[in-house]
Amino acid sequence: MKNILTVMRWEYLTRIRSKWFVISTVIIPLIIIASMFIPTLIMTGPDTEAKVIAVVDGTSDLGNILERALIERYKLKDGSPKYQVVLLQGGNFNSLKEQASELLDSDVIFSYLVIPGNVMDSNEVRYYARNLGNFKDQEQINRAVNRVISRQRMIAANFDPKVINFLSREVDLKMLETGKGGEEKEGSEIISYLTPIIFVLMLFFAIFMSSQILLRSVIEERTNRLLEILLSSITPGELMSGKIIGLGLLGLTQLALYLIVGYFASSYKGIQIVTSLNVILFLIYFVLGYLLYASIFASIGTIFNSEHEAQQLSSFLSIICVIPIMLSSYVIANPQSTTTTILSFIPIVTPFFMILRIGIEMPPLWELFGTIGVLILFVWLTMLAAGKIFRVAVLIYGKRPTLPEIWQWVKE
Amino acid sequence: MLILQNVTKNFNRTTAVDDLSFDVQGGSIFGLLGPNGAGKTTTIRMIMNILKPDSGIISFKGEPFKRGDYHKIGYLPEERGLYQKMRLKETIIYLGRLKGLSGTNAAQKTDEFLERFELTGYANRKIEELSKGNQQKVQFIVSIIHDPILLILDEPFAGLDPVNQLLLKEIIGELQDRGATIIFSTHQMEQVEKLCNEICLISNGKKILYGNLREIKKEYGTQVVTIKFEGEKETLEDLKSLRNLCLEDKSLTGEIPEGMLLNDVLLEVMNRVSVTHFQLLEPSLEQIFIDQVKGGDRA
Repeated sequence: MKNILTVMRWEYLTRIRSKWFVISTVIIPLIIIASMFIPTLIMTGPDTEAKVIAVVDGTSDLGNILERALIERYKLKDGSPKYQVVLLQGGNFNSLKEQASELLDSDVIFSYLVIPGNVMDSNEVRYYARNLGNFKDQEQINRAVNRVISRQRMIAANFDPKVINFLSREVDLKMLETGKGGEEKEGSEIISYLTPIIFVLMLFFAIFMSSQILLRSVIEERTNRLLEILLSSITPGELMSGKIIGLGLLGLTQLALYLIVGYFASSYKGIQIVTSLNVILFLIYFVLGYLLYASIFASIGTIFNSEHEAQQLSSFLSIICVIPIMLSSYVIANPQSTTTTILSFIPIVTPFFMILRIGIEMPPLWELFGTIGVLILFVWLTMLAAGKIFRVAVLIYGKRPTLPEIWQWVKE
Repeated sequence: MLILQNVTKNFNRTTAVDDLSFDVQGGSIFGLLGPNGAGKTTTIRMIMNILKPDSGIISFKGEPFKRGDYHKIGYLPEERGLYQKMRLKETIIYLGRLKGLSGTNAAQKTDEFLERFELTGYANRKIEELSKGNQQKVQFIVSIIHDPILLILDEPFAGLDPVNQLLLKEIIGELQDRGATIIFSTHQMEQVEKLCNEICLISNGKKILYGNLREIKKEYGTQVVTIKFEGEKETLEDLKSLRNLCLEDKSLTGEIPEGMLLNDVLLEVMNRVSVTHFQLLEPSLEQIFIDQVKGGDRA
């Protein structure tokens, strides 16, 4: 026991101050989260500068009305209008269009609208922009155009202006997400979509960082022949347990940091994504997932002679673990489907899938117990196999064992 | 102190160690000798419980090994290696603690040894920054930091400069004075001749020679004689009583074949020239080693 603690302490303390740990704990997740958030922030975040939009108006008055509607309705943070409208009217309609197109080419304007003279009948307005990636702007312009035109139609149909105002009043659609007990919480759609994915990524990093470090450390001791010194002091079991626990704690440290940051970030946004039950389940799946991967990686480490050789197999394994991340959009859309349930019971993806699902909607109790049970069984089997492989493979130098040989060791 | 009885170890179809028995007396310096691939390292690994023997018994102080016994043994493996990225001092402390030392004790001993080996200035350097020779010194410190009563050294002098070889011998001497037993595994015979009292020579996993070094020399050594003379050296060219004759102007050297006596040799030489001086040389262990290993191969 004392030996396990000594090994554990050594593995934990020497790794936690390594550059690798700092990089994988702070920088990589930052990059990932940034790469997920920045595009949406750019798309949806508040604009700080007014956008100039040209309107090529083939009608007599629609352009003016639209200009007023856009300026009054959409404001920047400082209260000034979000859109500045350049009206192109009078004269040849086609040459006006060309003029607008030139303005767009020379980046004087952000986009332009073409309202043909017969818009009331043709029911078609064209919107030209350099790219159509900005959904928020398009949505606003679309609404403004529709509102203005339907209002004009009502005026043309001789409605009372009061009635028109009443009819065209916009409804404010508030986005709400309901929890299990029917309680309501306000949430942004993007955040509730991203949260589980971020959780899975965190788990992925915590597990992979610690198992990769385990792999490296086993290979280092093997290629350095340090194993001989270590094994002449302590038993293989003590060495492995010390390593696995020490590096597991390292992963937990990382996870704890993520959770604390996640907690503060989410409460800052006013959403509670980290509940105590979530945290407990999160930790259970983390520990089991880690033990599973740790024993797999430790076996790889004992079989291969160099990091280079082992890297190929471990990158293959990493790819397998990216699958749940790739499948996450399916799970988010169908958290209750049979396919999701079946996939959740495949041990090597169970931790990722379950964390993902817990983040979206708490799965039924039997699935929680079921997946945890299957995972425990599988972890036990792989650790048993890893222990056997380790004991035999550890001192076979210079020669990589074949698959049948490994299978033989496991069976023994 | 340490007894091996009929120890055998097979790897797949090859027998690495074949029915090996020997007895290492407490306080002695024991040489485990043999050519490359003879099974020395495998034998040591079995003693250190890194490998399990297929059959046979290894006992320490008259009993099978118990868990704590390994804390009394120091081991310097043949292929050296340390954590390249870690700092010198903390690595030694860690490995010392695994040998059962307390944290403070390990730290104190580390400081002592670093000073003794003139490595104090490197204490907080990474091991990869050290020269090969210095790394080897670190490795040696690791094997003796816990004050072992049995020290197993696999090729300890390989790669050390003469100054450090001397330091190593000095420390080995100190350990022996304190009553420690030392097992040397090597194929460098001069070292063994100077240091060991007992040897066991193995080849292809089998024991070839075993016992007290002096007795072995007496029993197996071919005797070499040097004779100085006055007279025509040509008359000695067909000398029958010496093997591997090496003839010079005023002297000759040769081995006395088995069954032949020094007197016979001298008589034959004196018949042809006048002898002014003669000397019997002690057989070198290296020659015995080569003879025996080759003999073993022929058989």
